[in-house]
Amino acid sequence: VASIAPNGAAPPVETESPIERLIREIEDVLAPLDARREQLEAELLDLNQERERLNAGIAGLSGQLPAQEKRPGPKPSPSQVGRGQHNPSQKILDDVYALVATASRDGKDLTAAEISSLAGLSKSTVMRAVAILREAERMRIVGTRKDENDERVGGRGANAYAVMPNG
Amino acid sequence: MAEQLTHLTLLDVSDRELLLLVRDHANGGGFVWPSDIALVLDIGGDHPSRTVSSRFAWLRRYGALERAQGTEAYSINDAGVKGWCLTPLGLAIATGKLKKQTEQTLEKLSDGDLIMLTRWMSGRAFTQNGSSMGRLIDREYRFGKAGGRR
Repeated sequence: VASIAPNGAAPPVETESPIERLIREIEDVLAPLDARREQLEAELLDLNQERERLNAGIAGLSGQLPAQEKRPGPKPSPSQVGRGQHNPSQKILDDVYALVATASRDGKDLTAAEISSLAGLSKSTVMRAVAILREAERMRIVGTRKDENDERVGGRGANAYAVMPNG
Repeated sequence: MAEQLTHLTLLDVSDRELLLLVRDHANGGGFVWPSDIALVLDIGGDHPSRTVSSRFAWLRRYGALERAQGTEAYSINDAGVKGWCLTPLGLAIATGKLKKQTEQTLEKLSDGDLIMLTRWMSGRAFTQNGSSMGRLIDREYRFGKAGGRR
C-alpha cells in the first residue's frame, strides 16, 4: 500500500514497469556493443577501400610491365565484383537522381531494378550510383518491396528509394 | 532478391534515414513502434523489433527520439507497448537544411578555412562531449567519413 509522506505529498507515481526497466537496462548494455560493431564495420570499410587503392596501384604498375611479366591475380569473389570499378559518371548520377525525384514527386518510390529498366543502365551501375547518392544524402531508403514478377518464396524484397527532403 | 537484413547498423540505414522512416510511418499522434519499422525494412532474424529498438535507444540517448509517457493520444498500441516519436532535434536532423546563404558561404571556403572549420567543429564536439549534440556531431562525421553505404 502506497503510504503518504509526512508532509502530505502523494507518493511518486511509477511510470515504468519493472519489465520495461529491465528491457531498458538490457538495451543500455546492448547499445555500446552495437556502437562498437558499427565502428568495426566502418574500420573494415576503410581497410577494404585502402586495400582496393593498393590493388589498383599494383594493377596500374603491372600494366607498365612487359606482357610476359604479368601475373594473373586472384579471381574476385562475387561480393568484390564491381567494387574496384570506376564510379558512375556525373551524368549517370544525375539521370538516376532525376528518375527517383520524378517518382518521389508522384509519391512513388523506385527499386534498383526499376531504375535500371527505366534508365537503361545495368543494375550494378545503378546500385553504385544509388550508394553514392545515399552517401551524399540526396537519396534515402524508404522500405522494401517485392518484385511482383518474382515468384520465389521467401527472401527479402528489394530496397525502395526516394529522394531526401531538400535533397 | 536481396539478402535478408538481420541487423540495422549505421551503414545499413543512416540515422537520418531512420528518423525519416519514423516521420513517414508515425500515426496520428506522431508515434511509431519498432515492429513497424522492422516490417518496413523487412528485417529478419529472431528479434527484428529488438534490432530496431536498439537503434531507437541510441537515438533517444542522442535526444533525437523519445519514448511515449503513455498519457499522450495514440501513444500505446494494441499490445500495450508505448510508442516512439521524433523530438524537435530529431525532426531537424531528418528534414533540416542549411540556409542557401550559409551553404554558399561554406562552398566558397578555401582549403585552409575548411581545415579551421573542421577544427572548430571537432572542438565543439569535444567540448560538448557526453551531450547528445557532441555525440551527434561525432556520429555525423563518422558516418560521412565511412561512406560506401549499400
